[in-house]
Amino acid sequence: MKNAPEPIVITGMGLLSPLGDSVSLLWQRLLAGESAVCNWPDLQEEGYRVSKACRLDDFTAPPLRRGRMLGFTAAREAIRQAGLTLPAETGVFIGSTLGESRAFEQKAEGHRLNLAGYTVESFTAFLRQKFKLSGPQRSIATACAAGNYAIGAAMSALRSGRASVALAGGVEPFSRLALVGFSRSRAMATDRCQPFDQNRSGMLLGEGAAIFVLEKARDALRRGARPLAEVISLGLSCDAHHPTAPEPEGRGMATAMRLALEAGGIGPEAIDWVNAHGSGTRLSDSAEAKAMRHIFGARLPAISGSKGAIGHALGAASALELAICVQGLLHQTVPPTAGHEQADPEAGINCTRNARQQPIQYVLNNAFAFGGINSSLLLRRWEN
Amino acid sequence: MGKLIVIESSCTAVLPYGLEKDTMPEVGAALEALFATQVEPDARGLYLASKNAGELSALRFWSDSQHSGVALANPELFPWTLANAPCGWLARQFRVTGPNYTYTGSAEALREALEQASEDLQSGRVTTAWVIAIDFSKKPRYNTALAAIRLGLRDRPGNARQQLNIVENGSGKLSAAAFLQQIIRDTGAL
Repeated sequence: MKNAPEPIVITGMGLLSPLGDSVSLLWQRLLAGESAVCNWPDLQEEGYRVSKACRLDDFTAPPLRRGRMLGFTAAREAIRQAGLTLPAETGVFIGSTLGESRAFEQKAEGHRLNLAGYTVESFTAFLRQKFKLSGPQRSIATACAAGNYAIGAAMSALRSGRASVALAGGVEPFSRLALVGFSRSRAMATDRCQPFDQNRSGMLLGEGAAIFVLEKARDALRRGARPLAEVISLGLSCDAHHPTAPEPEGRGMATAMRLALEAGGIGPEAIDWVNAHGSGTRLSDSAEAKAMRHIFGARLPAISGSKGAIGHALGAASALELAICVQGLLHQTVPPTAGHEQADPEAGINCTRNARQQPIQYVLNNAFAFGGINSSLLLRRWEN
Repeated sequence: MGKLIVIESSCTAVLPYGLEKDTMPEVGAALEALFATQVEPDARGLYLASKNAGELSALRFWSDSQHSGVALANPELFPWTLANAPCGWLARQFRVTGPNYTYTGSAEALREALEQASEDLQSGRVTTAWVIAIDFSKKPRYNTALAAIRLGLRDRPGNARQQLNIVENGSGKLSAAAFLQQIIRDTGAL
């Protein structure tokens, strides 16, 4: 008989999101049905086709170091909440898309910059330097699924004993480059993001960071820490289909969910809630809907999505949404899905419209990305 | 006792300067033999390390958009600005539907790719893993460096070339591709 894997728990989380610079504020505003989408005069003046976005208007940092400062600020809060002095061998696992987007933009505009200091690796390196850490590291550039990947890598490192504590999550500074790219690729809504809605017209860009402290459950309990949730497994797959469009039947997405369930030793009937990727684009939501119907059949669990409220923070998106999943497990509440008003009959996914209190034991956090990357992270409510 | 991770095959190449979208077909041609296996697509994994994947396209895309105006930018290059685009291209080219990882950085990124590939092989998530390092040339007078290995599991090395052995000495300052070339040389897998 295969031994059950060592339970890994989250004991601290910190974030900066367009709906608040703390987990509790984000949660509170999410439950109230708020959305951070607003029009940005600077983007309008600069001539962007889409000037609506979800940004952090009160977070200041040097423009070229916004990403690393977002990551550092979130990590500091996560460590504070965990109540832990990080050992030097703590591992650091960070996901993002390109790194400091502004640096790439400035270099292209003729500024003299060595971009090696602005990649995803620079986020990881900064956290290791600031917290004096020398444990294992991962700088993962898997676009919009990078946060899930980072948590999965941390989980593996803890289980294998390569790290005793892990700092993991996703970081994404606001990217004008991505704003242009997505809007010119016709992936962007002009007004609001409406996951799985019949009138959905695309995504809106976000930004932020969410970092977590992960430990083995027995280590956390031994030092008297309160586990917030258990990280069970990560399912990964690749569509190998198209550079930007998902495989239309959602087969790869379904594979990622199935693998997460199999690795967690549970069936689909055990899932109480799916925090969907729900980007709000026609193609991605349609494929994800088919994938969920394939996995769950007619008996769908509660489904919510948060990109209508906080935008799509790309490499930080699944990390921010992981914090929402943890809050949901702690409060036994599925949050509402901002922007979801009329379910697309073809997709057949009725997302939560209001906060819903219900027993939640297991939740899946889906995140998919350009390049056909699919990830699904399985979490469980922590019970002693 | 666990099985050994072995390098089944390897490849190194130098390729001319070009944007990621222009270079990847040449990368694909160089790697054709390395991917000639009958392994199920879901049991294949790709682990790519690069110091600068996405960088050239990001610079070109932004530069072009400044000339055309951001509202009229040509979106063709945008997907290539993402660091994971080359690994996605390889997945499509060689039908790899298992895990698809991209790590950015130098020798450390390659180490991360090798560790993850080893973990996935040992756990049974994949039966064959391709670890690929590409350092794209930033200027026309330099070449793009490519190195790649195909990893599998064996009870003992047997016919496979060598057991994977990551030599730590002096790797810290190497680029991802140079480090993988060194590993290939050190294990005699070429």
